[in-house]
Amino acid sequence: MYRYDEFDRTLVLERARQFRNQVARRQSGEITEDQFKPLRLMNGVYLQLHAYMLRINIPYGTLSSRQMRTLAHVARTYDKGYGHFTTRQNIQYNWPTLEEIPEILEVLAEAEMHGIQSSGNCIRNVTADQYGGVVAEEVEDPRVWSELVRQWSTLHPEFSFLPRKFKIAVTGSPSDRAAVKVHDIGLRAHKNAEGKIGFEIIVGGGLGRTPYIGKTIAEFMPAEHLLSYLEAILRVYNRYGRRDNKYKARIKILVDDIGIEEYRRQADEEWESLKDGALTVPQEEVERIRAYFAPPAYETLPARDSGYEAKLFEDAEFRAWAKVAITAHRQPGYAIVDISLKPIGGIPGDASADQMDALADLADEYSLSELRVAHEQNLVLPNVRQSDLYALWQKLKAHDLATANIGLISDVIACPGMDYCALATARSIPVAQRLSKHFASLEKQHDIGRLHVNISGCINACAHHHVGHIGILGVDKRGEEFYQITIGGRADEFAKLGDRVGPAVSYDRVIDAIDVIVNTYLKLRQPGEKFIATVERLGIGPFKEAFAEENLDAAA
Amino acid sequence: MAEQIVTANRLNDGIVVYFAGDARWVADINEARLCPAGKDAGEALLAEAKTGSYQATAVDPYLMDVVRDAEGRLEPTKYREKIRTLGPSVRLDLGKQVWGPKGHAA
Ligand code: SF4
Repeated sequence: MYRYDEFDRTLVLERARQFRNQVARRQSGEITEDQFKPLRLMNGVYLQLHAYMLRINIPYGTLSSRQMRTLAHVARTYDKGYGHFTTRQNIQYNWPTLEEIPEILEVLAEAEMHGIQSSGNCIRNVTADQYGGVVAEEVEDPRVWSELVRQWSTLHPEFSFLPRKFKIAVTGSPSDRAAVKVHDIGLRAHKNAEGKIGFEIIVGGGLGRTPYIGKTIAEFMPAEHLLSYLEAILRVYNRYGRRDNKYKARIKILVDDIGIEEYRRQADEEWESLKDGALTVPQEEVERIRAYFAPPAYETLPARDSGYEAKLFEDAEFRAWAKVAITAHRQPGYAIVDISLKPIGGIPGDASADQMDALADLADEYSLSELRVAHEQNLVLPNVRQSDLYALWQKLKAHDLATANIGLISDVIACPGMDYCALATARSIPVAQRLSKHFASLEKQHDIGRLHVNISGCINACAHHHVGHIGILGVDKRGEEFYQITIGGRADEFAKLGDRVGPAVSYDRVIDAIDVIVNTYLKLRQPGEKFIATVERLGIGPFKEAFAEENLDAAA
Repeated sequence: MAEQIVTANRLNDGIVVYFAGDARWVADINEARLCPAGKDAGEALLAEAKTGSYQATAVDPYLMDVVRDAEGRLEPTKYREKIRTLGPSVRLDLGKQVWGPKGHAA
């Protein structure tokens, strides 16, 4: 698995040392908060409602068991015994003291992790499909290209002061798990008729205040031209992106303003001078990076394990879990296992230090020492032998990590919201918890089937509420928490923004509102039809009507 | 009637603090200096809080509204500030809500 090369290690340790010095100068009063703030943000240090928050990158969501142990150690030693996995494949610590953060950064640097570039108007950490390199349907390993893009963008002199932050996501599979259509740039690797690898390049997607689904600027950009074309896209943005208004500064606004054809024309023009130049991706470089991501030492196994299949037959509880938690692996006899960080009534994405340690041990025992972080705020053991699944499941259960709700209504994506976040307008976690408790019955959840609920505590949309099958946005209405509800959004390869079903509802009524939506679906669905399919077939009308009938916006 | 106090986060650990006058910042909201009545008084209090070496203690001070509850204790009017005085509503074992009186860990 990938390890930093020497350049990065020196850089990261150097940055931790610099930050120690900056903290000391801030504490002594030598520099003011205004001077210090950009420095701490560059190191992933935010000030939240109750304390500082430290955000650590997990590039393309890949973690070794050793790194997971380091994360557990940090949670236990410097924080309050837990960490929060976010929708950007990061981990956040909610209680570090400023004094101790430089030391934490050094500890993390030893395990090749850092918070650099997790903030600021630069190219942020590149995200990739969490199943990169292991999923059966994959065309190309997205991590190789994410890494190439990361190396190109890290401390890129021209793009350190973009009009606004810039997020890139990469997938190499037909099913999009990386939400590439709602990123500033999304890359989808695919093959052309000759079997050559290239990229569909999607630009101008994004959520937040003005959500857009990205538009395709290139259907098939041959792999060797990827960086030069990205450079061309970024140059156009850097030149014309609006620096005068931070709400209009993202690339999505520029793409919308001038239109995708014009954007393409300008990027192509810029590309003239870049094409076949220094940014042409050498095949050797791709192979060098690919070697880092070489598959681990898999055993040769039969495609189907009879012991596993027998257990599926015998044990209904195991079967229910396996149905949602397991995805087909490209290596015969292996499976990808999703681990829910959404116990019923729990805080989405939170994991205790003990759970992190347990997962590191389980990764060593069952997953060739590897873990992944999914943007759904869940974790993944990517390399489990089918014959080990039953034993693994039993151990996960003992650590409260085997809730059989992956992809179901209680697998809620929720941002920290007003419980922690200084920018929030309303709470999101308690809404997720109430929802999860309301639909606690796994039988009921499995009957409802695949249904993604996303809850953001403000318009910044960290929980991607616009693309939730059911999206919930917390707003402040005359000093009270209210929630706007949309349905029909989706973040996959058919990405779409949801539509409002009615006026915002109060904190007390929000679960009733979800109940109305779910019941309307259950009443109207055809046999086997998923929630999103029913909404797409019938439109939002019947849901709006049901919503209006219940008078959900009336004062409770 | 709402009155005003000045709040900020403590530099070293980010803990919520309140301006108590005389360059002092305290963790207990009930020791906060209340803004005297009168137009522009809030701004004056904020200006006072932002003098001297406040930067070494308090990050980004601002004014917030409080009212007195039945026992005469100060209580924020906005739920954001209520959460700040207590801690996360979803982790009752964390934040100020587990502190004893006088702002010490219970
Ligand atoms: S969506 Fe808003 S409230 Fe939620 S984490 Fe992002 S900024 Fe904070």
